[in-house]
Amino acid sequence: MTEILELKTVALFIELRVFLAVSFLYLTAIIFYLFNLFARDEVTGKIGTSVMACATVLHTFIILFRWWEASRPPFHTLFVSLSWFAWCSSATLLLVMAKKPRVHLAGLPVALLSAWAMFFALLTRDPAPPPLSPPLQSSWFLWHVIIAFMSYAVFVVACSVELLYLYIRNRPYTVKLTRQEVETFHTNAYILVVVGFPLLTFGIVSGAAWANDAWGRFWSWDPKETWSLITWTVFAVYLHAMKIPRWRDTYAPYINILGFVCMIVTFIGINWISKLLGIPSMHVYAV
Amino acid sequence: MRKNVIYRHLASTKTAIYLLLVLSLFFLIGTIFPQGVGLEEYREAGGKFIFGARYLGFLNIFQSPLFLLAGLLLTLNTLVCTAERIIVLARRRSGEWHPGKEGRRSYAIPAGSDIPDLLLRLKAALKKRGYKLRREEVSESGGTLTFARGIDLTITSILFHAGIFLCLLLFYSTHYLSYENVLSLYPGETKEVELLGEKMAPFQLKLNEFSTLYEDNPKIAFPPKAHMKIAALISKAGEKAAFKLEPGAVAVSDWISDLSIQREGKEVLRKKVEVNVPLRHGGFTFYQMGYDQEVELKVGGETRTISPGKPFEGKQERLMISGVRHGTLNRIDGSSEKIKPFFSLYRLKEGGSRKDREKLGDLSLGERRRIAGIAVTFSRFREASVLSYRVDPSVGILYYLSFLVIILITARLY
Ligand code: HEM
Repeated sequence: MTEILELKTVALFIELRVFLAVSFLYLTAIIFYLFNLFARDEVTGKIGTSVMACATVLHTFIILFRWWEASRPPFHTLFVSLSWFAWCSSATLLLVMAKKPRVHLAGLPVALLSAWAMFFALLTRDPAPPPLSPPLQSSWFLWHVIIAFMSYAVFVVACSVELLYLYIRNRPYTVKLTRQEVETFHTNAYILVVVGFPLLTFGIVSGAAWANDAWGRFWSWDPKETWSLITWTVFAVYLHAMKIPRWRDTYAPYINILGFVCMIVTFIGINWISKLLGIPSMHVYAV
Repeated sequence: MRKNVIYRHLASTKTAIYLLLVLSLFFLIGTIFPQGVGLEEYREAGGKFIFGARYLGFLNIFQSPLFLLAGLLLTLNTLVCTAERIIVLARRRSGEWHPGKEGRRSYAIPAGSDIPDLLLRLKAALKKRGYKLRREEVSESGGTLTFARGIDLTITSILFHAGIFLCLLLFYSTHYLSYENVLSLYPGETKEVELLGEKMAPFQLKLNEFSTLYEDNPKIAFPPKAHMKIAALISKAGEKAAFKLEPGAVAVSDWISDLSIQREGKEVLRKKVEVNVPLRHGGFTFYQMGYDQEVELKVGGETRTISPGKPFEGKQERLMISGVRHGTLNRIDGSSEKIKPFFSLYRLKEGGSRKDREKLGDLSLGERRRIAGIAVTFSRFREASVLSYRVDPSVGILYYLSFLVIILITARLY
């Protein structure tokens, strides 16, 4: 018994040390992107993105290591889901960056959120894999977490690209882009939401399927569920706003950002909001 | 009818946007106010928005007529939008160009123009205003390019909007046509299953056995402070924080009800139901919801039946027992052992809550001990499995349809 526990300790320490290193890599990327924001050269932005790429590769190993070590997919606690969220966000960013845009600043919000997720997990959550409580032993739950966090990550990048679009659309010449190049940021943000929306829909439906099997009811208007529905509705509004020519360049970018804000509230903000407004939280999940 | 103002509004994407926004406002209210809670309970829990709670029905917003109306309007909106697109598509197919709202622009192309370049420029200029190239009739001697704007007629889009409409209808159906209830059974017991009113299901449910599985729950003593955590990770000292398995540190890994469905005294189906593994039969679904224990104690010669977690009077003070732990413990080294049934006895502090308590000791089945000045014997206990069940004819179709809609929306990407 003691041997097993000793081995578990060693494995956890290896994992956490790499975890810390990855968190610092995300921080380093932030520094380069900040340079890029103020100096407006292309090189620092590119370095920022390369650092993100290194972090993501190393991060992949931690996720696989935990999977192997705990002999189950690592998505059951907030500690591991935050890490998965950071990984998905950076991986999505790298996919967008694979098109080699000349402006890398969309990496800044992504690096900020990834670093935040990693440090928040490491410093405030219990890192040890606990035994799975009966309700969590469900493949619906597993898919629910995997896909919902993937959709969050896609929305993070969509919002970053949209913010960048709003930032540069009035200053295309300072970043030496043509109007058309600037427009591609707006279109890319839209494509990302078109990808994220079915993922979020799947996240919600699989969550309902899980709740149905675990508690015998697929929907109970719990604040977290309801917020996920708000997020979904706001993104549906965005998708339709993009089809109305007069809204496309006016309201739509802001609705996209609003969708992102709702997503963050769904993800982590519910408890804080409950405390702030003095809402008695009867169902609120522990964050 | 298609010229009717109401129809035109219901066929508009802007209406969909406004309705979706109104719905999200309702959702928002539903997260600010706890749902299904009484006014007094809300006030006691520290709720601040008494006005909304008392006069606007915000404590039950998802049952409010206004919410249901907004949902219904969206459902209608989706239906009309889908129908409108099908109508337009059908007319387009038969050669008629849909007139009216849909804007249309034709450009005459003189002979000998650089068509690819012209097309590119026109497309770029018109795209911003929502126009798409619809017809290209050009040859070397010139021709026309026709652009139009209006609703998109992609088949997948029509299909998934139709799917969304059906999903919305099914939501209403599960809301109004489902029935749920709770049932508790002791091992060996057979019960009728109640349906609406006096009606009963055409079968009986029997619990053959109810068991609980536990597993070891080792914990790691990691420093709680953030900077200490980082220090522990970058120095050697951290490894002192090792996994430890405290005695009795276990976690429930499963509750299992071995159930049989009986018709006319004969078993027709047998299944082990767990959390996440329900039993479906004849339109009913049975879920493992929890358990209910009753403990028989002899306290100073008097026999008492006690429920775990509920305070009772001892000699001079208020006492309470924990739930009885019994079942099988699976150890991390792969072995397993039976747990002899036991509970913990607590003394509650004067005037304090149930959490304000002092542990007096553990007592296992058959054991007699002097605790807090009186002799206590744990003589017997019974345990019922609590199952919830639900009859909901639409929920299954709703799942399949939702997944179909998701696939269609994804297909829209290509
Ligand atoms: C809950 C209700 C609805 C949902 C979830 C929904 C969802 C969607 C989605 C995911 C798209 C694809 C976006 C894209 O590919 O760019 C879309 C497009 C569209 N929707 Fe909806 N929709 C809803 C209701 C409506 C209603 C009521 C209308 C009525 C006019 C409507 C009209 C459109 C139009 C015109 C498009 C763009 C063209 C197309 O993709 O066919 N939608 N909708």
